[in-house]
Amino acid sequence: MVKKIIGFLKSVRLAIFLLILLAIACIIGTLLPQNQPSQVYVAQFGQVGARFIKSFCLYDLYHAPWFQVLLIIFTINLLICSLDRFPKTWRILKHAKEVKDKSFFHHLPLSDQFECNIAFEQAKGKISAFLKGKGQLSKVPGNPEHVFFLKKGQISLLGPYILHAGILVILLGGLITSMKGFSGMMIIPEGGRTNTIFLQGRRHHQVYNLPFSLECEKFVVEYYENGRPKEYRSYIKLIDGKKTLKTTIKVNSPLDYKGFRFYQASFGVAQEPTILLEVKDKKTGKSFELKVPFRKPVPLPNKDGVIELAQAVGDFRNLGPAFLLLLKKNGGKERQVLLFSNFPEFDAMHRKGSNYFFVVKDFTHYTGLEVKKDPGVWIVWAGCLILVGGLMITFFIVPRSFWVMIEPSRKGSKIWVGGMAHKRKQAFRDMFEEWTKEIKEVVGCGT
Amino acid sequence: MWNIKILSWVTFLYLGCFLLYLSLLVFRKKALQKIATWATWLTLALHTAGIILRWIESHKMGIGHAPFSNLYESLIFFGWCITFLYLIIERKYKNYLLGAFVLPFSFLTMAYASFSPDVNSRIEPLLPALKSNWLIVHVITCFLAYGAFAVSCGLSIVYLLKKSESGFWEIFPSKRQLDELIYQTIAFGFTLLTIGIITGAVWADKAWGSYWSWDPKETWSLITWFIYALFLHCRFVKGWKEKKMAVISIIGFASVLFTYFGVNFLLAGLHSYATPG
Ligand code: HEM
Repeated sequence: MVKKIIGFLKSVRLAIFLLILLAIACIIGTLLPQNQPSQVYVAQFGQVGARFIKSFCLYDLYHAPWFQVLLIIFTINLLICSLDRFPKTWRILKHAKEVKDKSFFHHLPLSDQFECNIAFEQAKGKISAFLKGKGQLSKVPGNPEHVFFLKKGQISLLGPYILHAGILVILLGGLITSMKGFSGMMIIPEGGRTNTIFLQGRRHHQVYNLPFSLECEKFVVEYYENGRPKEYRSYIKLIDGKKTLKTTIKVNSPLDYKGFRFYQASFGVAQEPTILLEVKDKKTGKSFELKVPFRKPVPLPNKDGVIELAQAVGDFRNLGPAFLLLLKKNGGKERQVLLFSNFPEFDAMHRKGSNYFFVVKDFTHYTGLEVKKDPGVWIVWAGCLILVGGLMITFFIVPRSFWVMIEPSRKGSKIWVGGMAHKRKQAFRDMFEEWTKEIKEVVGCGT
Repeated sequence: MWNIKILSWVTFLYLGCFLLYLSLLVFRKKALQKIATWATWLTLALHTAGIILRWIESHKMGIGHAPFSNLYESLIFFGWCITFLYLIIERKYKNYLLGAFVLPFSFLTMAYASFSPDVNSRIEPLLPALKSNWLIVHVITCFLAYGAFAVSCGLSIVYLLKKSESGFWEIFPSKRQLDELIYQTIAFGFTLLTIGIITGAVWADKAWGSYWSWDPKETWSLITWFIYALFLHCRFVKGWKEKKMAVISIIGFASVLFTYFGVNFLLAGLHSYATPG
């Protein structure tokens, strides 16, 4: 019984079955919207369908218990299968068949035989030189001296073990990522400093305090001429005890520090921003710049009133950042002024009866950094390297064994050649034929 | 834009090459074979020139980037990979009749790129997340893999159509050779797809902070990977015949096409978030 189960667990049939199951599971995962609130499923599939989805965790399929069981069985399958087969492969790799006489050649998948009028010693020397040019000659115990054995590319037989080990290492890395890794967001206004991360995912609503803090000195967005964003950049000062470090974080170039990684993820209007206004005189066309801090009235340039920033919104009805200002002329009534940083003309067009209009030139941003700690990622990359190395060895090296035996004969020398490949038999056949032809040429035995 | 013009001529030239190979299949004239092969090499050269020109033009516009960044550019490169791999195999194995089964794939991808209203052929500036050398390696390896899978799909179709080793089918490679060729192209494609998925993961890790997030595109490339892994293991199971493997190779290519097109056009509607890349 136990034997039967192990026999099943190590079979390639099970591997194929699992590959099909995994593929089907992944297909379902892409067709069914994932991680939606339950109402969405009820609306789309009805009560019964939604209950089905809930009981099989199909709403979060890739983290469902049964999916993880599938991965575990897959791992066991791969492990047992490799362990089971390895000794046999190792024997093939190490073992050199004894060549006692010519009957050996009849049992090889590929063999040939020919006779030439060349002296035995001479043939031996020439063939030995030829084979040495092709690779390392192996000594085989029990072999007569006039037998040559060339082994090449045997490492290819180990390729599948290497690549499967790579897959196991990747799975291990993934496991560590999902157990030990976490991610969160860090919001830093320009000029502000913090060490607090708001966690995401499973540890939602929790915070994590870094043992060091980050200060955002400046945040910059650059645009292409067509208005599309070109680059987001945060100028960051990292303060760790007495040490400080200045860097720039951009999309695609995160900051690594003490196992934490900081990515440029978002940006927006800081909570209590200061804005930089351009004040333009409608008549003269002259303009001034004016810094307006949050809720602190500042006098207008020609001292005929004050202006105050009352409210700032990161995104007002999809129109982007918006600012509400209060303008109070000396002796006049207070008026509201609405400004959009994406639409510089807005004020000039909408506020009549004033000799100024305002344009938002700049405002205090916050930068949103995604913070990640993932001790598994390097294990995953190591596994990937092993996997790719294993694939190359498996597919692009042809393992082959090649034997040549020479015997003196009446005509001169009698030569047997034989070859065997454990895989890529077609490719090896071509090579065998070519080498045989070359040997015939070397010993002057043209065909 | 000269590059777009050249590339749309290339599309028609591929149609011509396909017709040459088709008439070679019907008339079996040595001269036709020479013409078909030369015409395809020349078309490929023009195709290459078109891609390089596009690169140069993007630099002239001041938004220079390697031409592998949007659907149009990837389709153009996909067509290039298919033709290139086919011509290499043709040279190596000296069989000239498979062209009629492979070149339609080159023509169709190019035609889709050049004439579908869904495909925007303008050179656009790159979004910040797409500025990465990993992404370039990712695209090149994935599309070489897809090209290899397209070729193996064509070969598998020939394999399944081939009823006997004599008569009309005689001049094709033998079934044993075809099987070997299908295996070789898939081994090549599988290795590149693996590298492609990995470099994609490295890029995602740099740009989005997660090397694997089960996004539909990623997941479909994994499904494709599973299907070809299935193919590679079938020969280790007793009783699985080459015919079944040829079928799996065709299913594998269907999965490639779905990864490439289906995910963008069918699943995007289901998922509220955009798919990167
Ligand atoms: C996604 C997972 C897997 C991938 C990508 C993979 C990949 C490969 C590749 C590329 C080969 C070489 C095939 C060839 O030489 O033609 C191979 C061989 C093999 N695989 Fe896997 N494999 C996977 C999972 C498994 C599992 C779960 C088993 C468990 C039984 C398994 C068992 C084998 C065996 C027995 C061989 C033949 C080894 C030999 O040539 O001696 N594989 N695999």
